[in-house]
Amino acid sequence: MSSPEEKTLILKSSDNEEFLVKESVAVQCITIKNLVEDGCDLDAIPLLNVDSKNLAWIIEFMEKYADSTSTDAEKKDFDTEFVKKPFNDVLGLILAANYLNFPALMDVMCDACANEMKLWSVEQVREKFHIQNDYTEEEEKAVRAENFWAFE
Amino acid sequence: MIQQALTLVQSSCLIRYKHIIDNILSSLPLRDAVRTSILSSKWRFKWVTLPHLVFENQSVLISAQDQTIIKNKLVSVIDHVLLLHTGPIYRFKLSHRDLQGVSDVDRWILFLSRGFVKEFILEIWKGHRYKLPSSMYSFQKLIHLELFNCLLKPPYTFNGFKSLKSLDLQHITMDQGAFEDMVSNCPLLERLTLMNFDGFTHLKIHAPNLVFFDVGGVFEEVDFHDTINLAIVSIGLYSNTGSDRNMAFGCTGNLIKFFANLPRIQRLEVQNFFLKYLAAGGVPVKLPTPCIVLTFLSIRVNFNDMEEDLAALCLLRSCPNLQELELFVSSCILCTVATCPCFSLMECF
Repeated sequence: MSSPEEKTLILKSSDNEEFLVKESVAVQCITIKNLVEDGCDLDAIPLLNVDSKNLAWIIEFMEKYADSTSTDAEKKDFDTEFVKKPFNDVLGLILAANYLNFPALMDVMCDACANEMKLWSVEQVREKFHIQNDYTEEEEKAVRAENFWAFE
Repeated sequence: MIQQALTLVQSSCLIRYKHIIDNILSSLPLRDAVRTSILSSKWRFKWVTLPHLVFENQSVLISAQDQTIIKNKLVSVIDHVLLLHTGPIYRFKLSHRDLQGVSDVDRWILFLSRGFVKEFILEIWKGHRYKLPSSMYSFQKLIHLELFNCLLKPPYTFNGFKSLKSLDLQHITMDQGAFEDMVSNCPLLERLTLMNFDGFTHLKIHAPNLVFFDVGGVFEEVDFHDTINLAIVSIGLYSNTGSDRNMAFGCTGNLIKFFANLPRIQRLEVQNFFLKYLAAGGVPVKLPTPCIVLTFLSIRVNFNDMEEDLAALCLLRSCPNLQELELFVSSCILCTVATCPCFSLMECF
């Protein structure tokens, strides 16, 4: 049961779904914190770059991290399960965390992205990030020599 | 198809944000981060501005068998990375098990001292205590310092690390004066870890912002001054230094002295022989001021030692709001349940 003074906010996703969140939880997103501090008096805070699928996940994450009773070990276990998502969902959450300026989520998702990348070959990284290899043969040789130790 | 298009948009968008790329690259082992240089010309130098550099066995894989070759290669890699790197280095960790040779480390520390390192972690796994060069003491922006197997001998001009919040010293040597000065001249210090140290035996802790204190080693005295914020304490005295034999008749016992400057203690762990230390100099029935915010207590007690029993009882009577208790009992081989002092101790609950 929330106390009478506990303020709740309505967060509206880009696809017009509304989510009720306690203010103390939502202000982990610095974008939202700034809006609140600037005295935003809208009924619902529109989050134009976050769809309902991502917003639901973000709220789940925020609530876990705002819970003062959860230990570091519990948060780590939560993170391990939370990041088990398809790669493009991981990317989507990184972008949403960036838009909302939510450092904790950003760190966890970037870590998850890095963990996937570790398993890929150079070609696979290029494919997943849609990077066009524009090196000539000579340039590629020069880069490999420049960072010889990483290519041994 | 839609999924692929979505990934294309998202990933193209994502790689335009430098801070996102930096965050991802920082989460990769250094070797993988450097390998991104081969992706495309745009990626050639994305890794060089990484603010965190970690050199350890997993992040710098060296394929060689001979120890000398490995060591030389490692030095070459670190020199190479530092030379290509540009921009501030905020976090530097060196903990490679094949590292030997001190002049190389001196050189890297000198290089870092010209920048704004905030977190510095150095673990020397081979050889004697590594004597830190004087340039290390000019890391003025340091917030976290972690050292393993090092010798600290600050120059006389050293006046502490004014921004330091966290200090972790393990298997180190420094003299008594240097230790006291280090702690008292780091005004923002919140966390202090000391494990296996030599050169000083008197733990004089003058640190008004200290919240966390974890120590394990051989020492003769613990003295807290102004430690009004100290909330989490874990102390292990590895050998019975017999400080009680030196106590003058009539002086305040260690138990009272210990708690005199810990008004806000919430979690306490008393390990190895520390309870024996606390029991020295006489134990009251209860502490003069109860530890009202102490909620977690862990004690290792030798029930065959009457003084330790009294000390344990005093502690238990002095924490009215205790929620969790851990008791580690040193083996009492000869007693039976009926005669075991453990029994009467448990009765106070």
